[in-house]
Amino acid sequence: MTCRLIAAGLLGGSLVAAWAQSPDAVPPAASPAPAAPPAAQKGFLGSDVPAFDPGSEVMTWDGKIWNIQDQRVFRARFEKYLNAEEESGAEAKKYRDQFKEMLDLLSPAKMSKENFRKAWAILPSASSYEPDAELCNSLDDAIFGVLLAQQEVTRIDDQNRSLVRRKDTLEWNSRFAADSSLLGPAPKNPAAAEQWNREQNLKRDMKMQPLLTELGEVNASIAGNRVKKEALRLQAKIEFQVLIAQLFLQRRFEHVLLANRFYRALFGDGDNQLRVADDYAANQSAKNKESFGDLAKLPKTLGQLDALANEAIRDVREGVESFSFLLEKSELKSAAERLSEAFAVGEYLPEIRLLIRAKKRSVLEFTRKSNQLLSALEVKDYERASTLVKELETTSQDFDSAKPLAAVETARTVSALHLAKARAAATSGDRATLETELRAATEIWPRNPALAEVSGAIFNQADVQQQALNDFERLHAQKNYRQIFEDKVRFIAATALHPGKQEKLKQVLDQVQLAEAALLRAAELAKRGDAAGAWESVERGFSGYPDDPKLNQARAEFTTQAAEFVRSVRTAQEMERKQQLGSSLAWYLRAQQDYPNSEIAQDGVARLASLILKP
Amino acid sequence: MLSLESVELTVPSAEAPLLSGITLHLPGGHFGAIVGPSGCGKSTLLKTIAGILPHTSGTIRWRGRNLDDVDLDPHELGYVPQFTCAQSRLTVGENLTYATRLRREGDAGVIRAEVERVEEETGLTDLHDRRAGVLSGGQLRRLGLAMELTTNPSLLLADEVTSGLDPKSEEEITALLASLARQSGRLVLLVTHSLRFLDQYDSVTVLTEGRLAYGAPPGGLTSYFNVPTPEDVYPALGDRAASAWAEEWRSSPADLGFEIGAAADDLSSELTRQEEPKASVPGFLPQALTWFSRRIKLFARDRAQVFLQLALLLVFPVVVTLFAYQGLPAVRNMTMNPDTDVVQQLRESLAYTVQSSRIGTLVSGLAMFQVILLALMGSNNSAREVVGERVILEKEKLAGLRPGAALAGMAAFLLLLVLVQSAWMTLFVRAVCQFPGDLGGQFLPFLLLTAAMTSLCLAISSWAATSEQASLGSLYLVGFQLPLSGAILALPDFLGLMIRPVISAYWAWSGYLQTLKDTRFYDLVRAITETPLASAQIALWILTIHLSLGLILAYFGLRRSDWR
Amino acid sequence: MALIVLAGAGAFVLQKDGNPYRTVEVLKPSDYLENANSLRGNTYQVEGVISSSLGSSPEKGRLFGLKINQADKDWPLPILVPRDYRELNLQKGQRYRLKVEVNDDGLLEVEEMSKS
Repeated sequence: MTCRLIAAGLLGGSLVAAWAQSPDAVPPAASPAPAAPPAAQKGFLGSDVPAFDPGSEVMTWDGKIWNIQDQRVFRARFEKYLNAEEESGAEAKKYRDQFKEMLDLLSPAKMSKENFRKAWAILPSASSYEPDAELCNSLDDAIFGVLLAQQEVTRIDDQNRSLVRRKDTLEWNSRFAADSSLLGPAPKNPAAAEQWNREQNLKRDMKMQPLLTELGEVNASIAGNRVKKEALRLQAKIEFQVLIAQLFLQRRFEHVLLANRFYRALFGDGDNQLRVADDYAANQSAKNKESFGDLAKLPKTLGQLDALANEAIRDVREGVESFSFLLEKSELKSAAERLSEAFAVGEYLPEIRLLIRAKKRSVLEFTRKSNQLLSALEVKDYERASTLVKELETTSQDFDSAKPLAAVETARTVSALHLAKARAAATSGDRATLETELRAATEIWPRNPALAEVSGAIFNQADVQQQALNDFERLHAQKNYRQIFEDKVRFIAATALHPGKQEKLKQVLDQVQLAEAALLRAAELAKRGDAAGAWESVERGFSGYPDDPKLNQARAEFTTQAAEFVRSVRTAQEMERKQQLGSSLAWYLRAQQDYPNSEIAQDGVARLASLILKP
Repeated sequence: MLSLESVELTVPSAEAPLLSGITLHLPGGHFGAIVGPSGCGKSTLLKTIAGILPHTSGTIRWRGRNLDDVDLDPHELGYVPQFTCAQSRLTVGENLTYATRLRREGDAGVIRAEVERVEEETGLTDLHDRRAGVLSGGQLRRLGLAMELTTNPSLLLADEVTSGLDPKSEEEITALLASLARQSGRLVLLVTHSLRFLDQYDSVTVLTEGRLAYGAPPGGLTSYFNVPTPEDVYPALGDRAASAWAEEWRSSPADLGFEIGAAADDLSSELTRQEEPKASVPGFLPQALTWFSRRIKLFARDRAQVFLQLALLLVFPVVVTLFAYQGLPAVRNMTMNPDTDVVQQLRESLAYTVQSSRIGTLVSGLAMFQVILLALMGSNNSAREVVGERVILEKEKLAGLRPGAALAGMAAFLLLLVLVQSAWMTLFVRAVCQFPGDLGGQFLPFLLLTAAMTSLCLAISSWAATSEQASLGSLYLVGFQLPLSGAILALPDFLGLMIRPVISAYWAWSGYLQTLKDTRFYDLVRAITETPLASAQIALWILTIHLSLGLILAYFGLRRSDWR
Repeated sequence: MALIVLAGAGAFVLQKDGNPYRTVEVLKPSDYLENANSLRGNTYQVEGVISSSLGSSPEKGRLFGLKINQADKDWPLPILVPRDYRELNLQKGQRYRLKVEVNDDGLLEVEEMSKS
């Protein structure tokens, strides 16, 4: 699969990100590996070379482990490459020729000042080739910088020489001053002699003072100049080294070779030691240290770097060859892998660049599909993934569909499971579980068509919910509680997530429930011929919900049926209002006689009796 | 002395007059016989003369007095009925003593003397202590005679006193009568159908079908009738119509001897009469007392009656207490809380109703039971009081007994019974059943009830023709007490209002229950009965009224004449 | 005969008047129920059955329900039995005749009462 490709690309991508030099700058994305990483140090080249571990689809380099699966960036770049035409144009050729020429001019056998200058002169021209990314110009600048530094060094040397002459003069003068400072014999008097010595010393010192001072200055200058000189030299070196390291990290291996040669030409002192890290660690700020932390792992010598670059170039060459071979065999997967590995390492190398499009095309297809598959897997569009897998199987002989299929299946199953749970939760109204399960299902397989259906249902419901809520509010404002009650299922569902409304709904339902209960009881009683009891039941329900039409109707009906009793109760209540206790009590008793089970009458009697008997 | 002028007696029920055209003149000291075939009106004539039957027309004079204007003095008349009017349980002496005491004033000594005299006169001296019940027929007739002789009557009417006796006794009685007539100057008239002792008679009056066929000394009898022997007279009478005989007698020359004799007698008796000390009839109270004491004695001697009374006295209360010998049950009340569950209320109401019906019925029933039993006892007391002694009573009345006195005596005797009965019932039942309430308040209604019942049955007795009638009447009276009292079933309102006032049992029951007013029993009784309960005072008043009513009715019943 | 009639009449009349309060006007329950206030201060007689106990207080007395029968209907009226009668054992089912006064609350207050 393209996992290996990704692994390879990961390296480049992350490094590029770290340096932010590549034109295709992308944000850093070094995700940790989901698969268990192998031992990072086990590449046959050690940790110094980007190594892809096919077994785990993990790219290691620099001791870091990158999971290729996450390197969308690389995939994109690779695809772009596959689509691109081979760079076989005249300009490209010219560029390559220039490179060859420069390398040739700077080869150890032909190294001379003249050749150096010639090679140097080619650089700007080479830089005009766009894919060069101005790297040659950078090199050019660097070289110029070094030369400038050398000039400075020379100037400092001259200055130092004059300073040394001055120093000699000063030393002679001061010696002389020191010797000729005696002017007469010393007094015999020890005290006066001492005094005189002291005076003499003082005079001597005063004479020598300015000389000494100046001498000191001069010495200091000389020393300082020396230091300066060294620093300049080192600085130039380091800067150049940095550039080379940069080039290496950017996988511009050919540039590395070239730069190395320029370096040798410039600093032909046999000192190949890469001091980049040390110096920079010492001199640079902590922030820079971070970015350059990787440099601690760079090889210690330029020679090594050179060798590595060569190695990389060779590796890529082999990879391309292998790619071509596999391509003929229609083993697209492996071919693509080889190519992507090669691309990952030597993106800028001519072998890669000169690969003909046609060849790349088939890989492109494959790659694309693989990338799509990867994307699909990434976005968890398992349907698409399985389709792609099938396609890939047909196009590539060696495509291993087991893993992706397995992943798809697993995802499908799990998603389906979650959906089932979600459905169950939806029907039982378990909002929390529903959400959890839906989320889980979505996470696992967002494009599950069943998901759309369920969500659709649920989201429909959301719309429906909103509608229901609106209806509820409207009916509540109208005090049309009965309608609310009739539709209660809808409203219960709708207000499930709104505690405030739920409370209101509950109140409404309770009220209507009570009214209903009262009506039911009344109907029961009426069936048994107990019209008075029915009326009372309705009456009590009425007090809680006076606007209910049903209650009103029932009330009217029973009032006529239990006319006597109702009249008694009403009269009793009327009398009670008028504070005619005796009459009221009598009417309540009457009501009780008409309907012994009457609670209204009972309460009335008790109430009035206690009133009457109050002292 | 005695003269009858065309005396006629017709009664609506008979077609022919019972007596027609009877004209007689009989002197004192004369022993006359009134003879004739059966049903010819002999006894009727005697009764007419006695004043027992009022003649329709004609005149009867006694010693010149028209009996229509002035009735015979009781002492003047002695009437001996055919039936025994002596109390069988009393001795001869007692009978005579009581008879005398009823007729004559006087202290014990006078009475005794009188008794001895008549005993002597009638030859009953040896039988003084013999119980009248064991006397022979002749002795009884003599006793009857003796009883009439206690007042020394100048007119002695004897109705078939010789009938049914053996020839010896008949002879004796006839002789006695003759002697009575001659010795004391009495006019003795004997009704007989026996013609055996014609020679004893001073005159013979022959009646046939209510007409006078012959009225002269017996000597001319056979010649008049043209028969060989006196016994042939009756058949001869049958040969011709009664009116013919009467016609013949009327047209035959009157035997003036009698008439003159009679006139002479009249004169002499007129002259002598004023000198005779008139024995007076005793006062009301003595008569009442006499009757009372006689009644007591009679009661005491009547073992059956005593036993019956005792039995009733003892058994009835026991029967009553059988229903509540464990005392009256306690009363459970209903809860009054109006908040009690309706079902509970109904249950309680039901239990209360059941209890009411149980206890209420018990209490009401006990009260009513006592009332009814006392009423029974009351009726038993007096149902035959009068009617059983009617004959004696009538005779005594004829002899001067005041009906009121008799009533008083009866009442006094009955009062004793009543007191004992009501007191015992009240106390016994109260003690056994532990009836609450005022004792006096319970005793009084019972007393008055028993008294009222007694008096009402006495009234019935005094108006009834026969014992059976009286018993029946009393039974009905008692029998209707219970249903009409309203204690068991309430009468319709208007009916109840009309009927209850006359139902003594209701008032007694009401009055009795009023004593329980303060107890729950009263409430229970009220719960079960729709009949209103009268207050105690009114109950007692009404019962008193009933009592009085009974006595009043009894008085009138006693007063009326009821001869058999 | 006349006497019987007289006795009967007398009894009849007397029976009607076993009522100790006969001179007092009989209260019509219907009137009371219509407007008890208009009857305030008046004294009436009522006869009814005690039907329920509605409460009691040591100062005011006892409140009872009395069932009065008028025109074949039972009318329950409240009566206040004052403290004076606190000894009286009043039970449901007892029939009483009462002399009552309509007090300021429009309530029937018992002045006299006796079992009937």
